[in-house]
Amino acid sequence: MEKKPATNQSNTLTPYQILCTLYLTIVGIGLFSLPRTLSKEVGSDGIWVIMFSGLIVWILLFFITRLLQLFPGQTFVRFVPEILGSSRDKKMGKIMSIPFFLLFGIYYLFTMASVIRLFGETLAGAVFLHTPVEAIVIVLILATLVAATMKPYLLAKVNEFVFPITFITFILIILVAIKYGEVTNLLPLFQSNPEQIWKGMLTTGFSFTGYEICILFAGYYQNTKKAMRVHTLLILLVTIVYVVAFVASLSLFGQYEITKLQWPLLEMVKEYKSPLFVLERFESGVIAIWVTNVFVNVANMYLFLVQMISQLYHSESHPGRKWIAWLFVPIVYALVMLPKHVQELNDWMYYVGIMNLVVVGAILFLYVVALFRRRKGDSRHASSLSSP
Amino acid sequence: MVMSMKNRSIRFNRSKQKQNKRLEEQYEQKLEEKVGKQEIYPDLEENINFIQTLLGNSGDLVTRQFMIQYDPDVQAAIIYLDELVAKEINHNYVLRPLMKFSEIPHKKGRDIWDMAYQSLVQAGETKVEEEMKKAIDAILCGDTVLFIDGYAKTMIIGTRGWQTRGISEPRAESVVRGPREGMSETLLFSLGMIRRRLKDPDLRVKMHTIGKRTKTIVSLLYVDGIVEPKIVEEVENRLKRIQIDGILETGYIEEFIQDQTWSPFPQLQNTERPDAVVAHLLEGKVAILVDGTPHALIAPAVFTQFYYSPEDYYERFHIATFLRFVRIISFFVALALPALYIAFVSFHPEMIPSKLQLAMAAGRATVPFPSIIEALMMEMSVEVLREASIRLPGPVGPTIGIVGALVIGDAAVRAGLVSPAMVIVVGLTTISSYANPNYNAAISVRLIRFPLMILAAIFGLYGIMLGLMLLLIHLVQLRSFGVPYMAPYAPLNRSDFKDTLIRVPWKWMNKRPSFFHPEDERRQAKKDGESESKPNEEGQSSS
Repeated sequence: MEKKPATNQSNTLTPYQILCTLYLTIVGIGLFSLPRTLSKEVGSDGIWVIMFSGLIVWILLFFITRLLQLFPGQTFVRFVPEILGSSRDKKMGKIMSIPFFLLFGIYYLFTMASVIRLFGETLAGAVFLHTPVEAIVIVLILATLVAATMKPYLLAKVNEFVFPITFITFILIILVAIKYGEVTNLLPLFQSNPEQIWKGMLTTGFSFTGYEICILFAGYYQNTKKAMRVHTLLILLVTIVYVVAFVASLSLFGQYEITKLQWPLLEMVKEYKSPLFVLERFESGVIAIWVTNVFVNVANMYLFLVQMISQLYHSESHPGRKWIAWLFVPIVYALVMLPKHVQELNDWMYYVGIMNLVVVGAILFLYVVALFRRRKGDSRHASSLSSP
Repeated sequence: MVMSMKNRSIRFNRSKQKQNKRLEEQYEQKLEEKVGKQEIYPDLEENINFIQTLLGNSGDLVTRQFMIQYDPDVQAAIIYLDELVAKEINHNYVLRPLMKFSEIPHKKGRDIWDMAYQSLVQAGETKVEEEMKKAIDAILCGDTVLFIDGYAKTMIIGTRGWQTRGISEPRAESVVRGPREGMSETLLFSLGMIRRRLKDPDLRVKMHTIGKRTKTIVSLLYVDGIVEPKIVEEVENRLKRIQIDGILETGYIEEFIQDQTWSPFPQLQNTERPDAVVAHLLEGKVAILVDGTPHALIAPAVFTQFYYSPEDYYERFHIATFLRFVRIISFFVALALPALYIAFVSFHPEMIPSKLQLAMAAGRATVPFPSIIEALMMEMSVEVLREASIRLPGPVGPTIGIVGALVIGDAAVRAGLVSPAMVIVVGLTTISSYANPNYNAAISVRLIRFPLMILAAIFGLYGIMLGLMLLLIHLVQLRSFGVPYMAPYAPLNRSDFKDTLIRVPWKWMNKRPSFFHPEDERRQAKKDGESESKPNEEGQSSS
């Protein structure tokens, strides 16, 4: 048996870690509001819409994965210049890839900002009625800053811990629906017109954003060849979670009530009333557990930014990363506080979703270019990168 | 936060190293001036004078001059420290044969030194040295040195023997089932207990002498062929780097060789139990024993290991698994219960069942402080009680502890200073922290509790969660001699999961934990019909 050296093995991501990391980057605070936004658009047809969106995302992710498989053991910071540049002039590729990096950076900055703000508003609205949003937000930014200075394979371990906690909580929430939900609330089906379905798909499509972060984490995969298997499992899992959340809240509240609830999934928790439990009214508890989810969700995106900059400047050592992470604090904070109210934030979320389409489009464009120019990462380069 | 700590720790170490170096140079210089490479004089008187002046005519230094009866013209002397030698050996097997008329016929021309070395001195360990420094070291270690007039060399006779405490049950790690002997302050006794349990020719014992002045013997134990050589190498390198005047306890070594100085979590385990040491050695770890203390250090250590008791492996697996769950729950209770109380009372009162909340509100009605002050006050007084009950003499200690807690707690509730619920919380927290089988891990939980309480007072459950996340980040980054501290939870490993929260029956634990990278992975021989997961391994073992 060929034994891998210890250090090399611990610097890579196991399939389970990949699943946890990507799942937590996709599923965040949006899960609480998805049933509302979706049933507003398409009513109970949301079930098909989610499944169909899942399928489309799977196809997109399939091509992205093919791109990643061309460059095993490399993050996008390394392979984008390689795709675009020529072998003679290395600088050319770097200059050509700057617009792409800018696009990725801005996209993640905005996504991060909107997630943090949304979370701050949720907390301030549901639990901390007297605490200013600014305080909640700045604490979250500073805490995720610590996480973002970690190496990607270490942050994956944090993801690994958080995933079961949030997943089990989610299942517990859903159990209420089984007890109180009614199937008749799900009917009637097939009532929406194509235009509504298209809008609904866009809404759910936004809930699936986050999977494209694999262009960073793919640089640390243990086995890029088998990545598609994990990615398929991931999309399957996310789709199931979304469908289950949607069906559960719809069966519990019905089509008309659900549109009036800000956080349908959180309202479900309020149905928990049993003398068996030591505690009463679980929403604060669920939100507290969801803090961990949002924390890693934001931390993963923060890491994307920090890792991108630090790899660009070759300063992957710890002190360098710390300063880069600090650099983002004022920018992120300014962006977080930019929307004046929740309504504006919702508009923001829409634009961020559109931007996600552009980002994914750009990645697919890179794949096409790589195919045409027959670019491929050599494995020698890969091994040197996996241990930064 | 964590990063800046790391930097500071490096700086801290560096200044300490510098200081130590200065210390060492000064001491070395002085010693060099006094002894240097001084050879032993041929003249007996000169030798005795030299040693006596060097040790400052110490009162416990015994110099016995005598004539060797074998050849009455020859003067000889033994020098030893009164309290460190086994006197009967000196009297019966060194002095008597030398002074008594020998049965061996006196033959002219036979060398008296050879005679003494080969037949007269009847001790197991003898050594001939020509340097004065060696002789002095030997005296200080409890050996006896023999000088014979006219010979520029000395015989070092192993006569170490001093009063020891004897073998007793380890106080902090007592078990219901399992061996009751604890290791002893005398290194050799401890080593004996380990050897007796591990009759493996592959058990390696490497001796180091650390401490410029104390010259403490530190031994490094590992099983060759199980442990990863890299770990041994790393431990040895770190041991060699230690430059200090004295080592009195394993704690000195622990602080010098641990990975992260600023982490509140222990990165090496310590145990008094020889059976635990053997179990760790068999898992592919390294043990460090220090002369003068019964504790052994185990490296590398992972987080979960601090929540195991040796008894987990002696009792049947159901109870062991159950107890591990109990310990993990008590870990969380000890860590977060006061913080949760604060968060519930001041931020999330709706989570508490209404009836209980009414009762709690009634209890808190007279309390003049916010819950954080109440909690900090109570926690601090419990810590004081705990510390005081250790210092209090013998049987009075626990009594005072109980009386103090009951009386003061009750009085405080009656006076309306604290709420009854707070007393329950503090009591549960204190008891829970004692459920941990390892004292040093329990202490770290005690410490972390306070920042968590402050976070809870500022941000409620949100603060607690963020605090726990930061804790998790810290734990995930920790490494102990190259082994991730959170192994085997992150990265998750299925085969290592057999001995974590659950402890499967011994029958199924056929492999050693893989995160220590043992060279010999298998604990039990392959059973018939066991599925072959790694075909190459079979080829290796059959060849």
